[in-house]
Amino acid sequence: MKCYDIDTKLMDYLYGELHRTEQGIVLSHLKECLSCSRKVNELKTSQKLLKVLPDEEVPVHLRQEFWKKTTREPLFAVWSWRVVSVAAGFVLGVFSFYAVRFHILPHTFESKVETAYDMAAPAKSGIVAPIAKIEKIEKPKESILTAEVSYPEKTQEEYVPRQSVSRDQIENDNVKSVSLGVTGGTHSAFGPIASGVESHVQETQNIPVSSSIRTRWFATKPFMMKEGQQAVLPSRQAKILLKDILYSPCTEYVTKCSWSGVGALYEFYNEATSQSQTVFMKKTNQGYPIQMKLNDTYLLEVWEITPTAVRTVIKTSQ
Amino acid sequence: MLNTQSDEVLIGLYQNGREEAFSILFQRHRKGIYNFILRFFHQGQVAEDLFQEAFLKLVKNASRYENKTKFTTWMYAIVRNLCIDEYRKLKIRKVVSLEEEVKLRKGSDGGEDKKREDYIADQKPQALDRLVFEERSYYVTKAVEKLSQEQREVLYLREKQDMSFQEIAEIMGESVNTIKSRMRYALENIRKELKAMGVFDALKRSEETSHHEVL
Repeated sequence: MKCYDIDTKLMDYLYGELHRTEQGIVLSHLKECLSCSRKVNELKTSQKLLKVLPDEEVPVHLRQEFWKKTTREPLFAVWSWRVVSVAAGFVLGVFSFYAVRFHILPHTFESKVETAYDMAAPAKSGIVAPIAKIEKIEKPKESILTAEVSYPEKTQEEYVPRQSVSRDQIENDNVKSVSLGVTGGTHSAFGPIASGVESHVQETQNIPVSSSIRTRWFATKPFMMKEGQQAVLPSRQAKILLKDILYSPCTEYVTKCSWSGVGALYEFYNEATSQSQTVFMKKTNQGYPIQMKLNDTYLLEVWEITPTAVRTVIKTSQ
Repeated sequence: MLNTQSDEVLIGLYQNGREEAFSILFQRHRKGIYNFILRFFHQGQVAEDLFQEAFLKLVKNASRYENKTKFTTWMYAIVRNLCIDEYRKLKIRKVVSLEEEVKLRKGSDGGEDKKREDYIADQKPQALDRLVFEERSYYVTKAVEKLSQEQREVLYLREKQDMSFQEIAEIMGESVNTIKSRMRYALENIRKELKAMGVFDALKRSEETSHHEVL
């Protein structure tokens, strides 16, 4: 190989992009040719010196400002829609079955469940749903047992499957109805379920699902709250205000950080007692909704924290 | 864990509404993008302004990303286009033409360089023998700033982002040979600039004492 041929391969040689045979040819030429070897040495020196070229850290204020400026462009999530619509359809079916079976569900609750399906596909209107203020929540006449189901997507390992709910459990606990929440980042659905739902969803979606009885609270549909927005709670005797979102996830929190660096700061104002309290909901690495009892009547749940909004659920025991 | 997913998986998740996937992409690439812009303009304020714009543009264009392309190739192509637009606006284009590059190349050991080297060496008589890391990076940064914008881009993507010549060619919309040629000129010009500053030999010595590498 001549010097000219070597010259055309120098960059590939320096950056290890040559095949082994070509690398050998260049090397043996360099051993014999003083001129080429000097040229390579000069380039190598520059290359080595560049190792000290520093990388600047992104200024902290830039990182924070970016999140504040970000507004989500609506993206059509085909897969999510499919899952949710099937799940929603099924849940509606089960709901009707149990409503008939137990003869207990008030009409207000039934209509409420239907509107909850609109929330089941936030992808339609972008991740931040327009609802931020709860005007009114109809209270059910009967106490309702809430159940939640999470199904991990293939890439969504943080949603840990829970204990199953059996028909026996429901009947023995004298449960009038069970509501199903399907959580999964992009979609959520509420509706009543009973035993058998796990296997059904599993069959139709091939996604492992389990559910567990959580609490005897009645839940609002999940809604997105932005910083500075407030929600009036059902009795109108209390409000919550989302004061701040902390969003600096720690990439190595399993080993280095005690938590993910993501949280939401709420202020809860109780008009009955004229007292307010600050509540910090810290995201854990467990993947469950974060839950905090505000008082005997209200319970706050945070389902998902994004840099610009928090998916919130409020539950009431009344 | 989302953190362990590839860029391509994450952008796919983001397209399907998983907001947090983009936050991981942001974390992963913010430093690279910031430094790319910084090297492009070597002006801190411009880099700060463009950094946010770059990411907002990525957010806006996220739905158009197709899995055929590597995510970083797509991402840097968008950021680069933004930089070029800004560059035009600022009218600070400093094109080093092929002719100039050849001229520089020919004069690598020219008398002109020697004089400047002597002059600077006179100013700093003893300091240059033992350059600490900070000094080394200072001079190298200065030398990189003197390169043409095209050379800086290639150099940054190759040296700091460890991209292949093929990927860089795709980002810049040039042939692979053009990219290799720019990289070569960049390396040669770095040497010339450091010589002109009178620190090349000292840097070389300090580099050799810290790493003993055989060709």
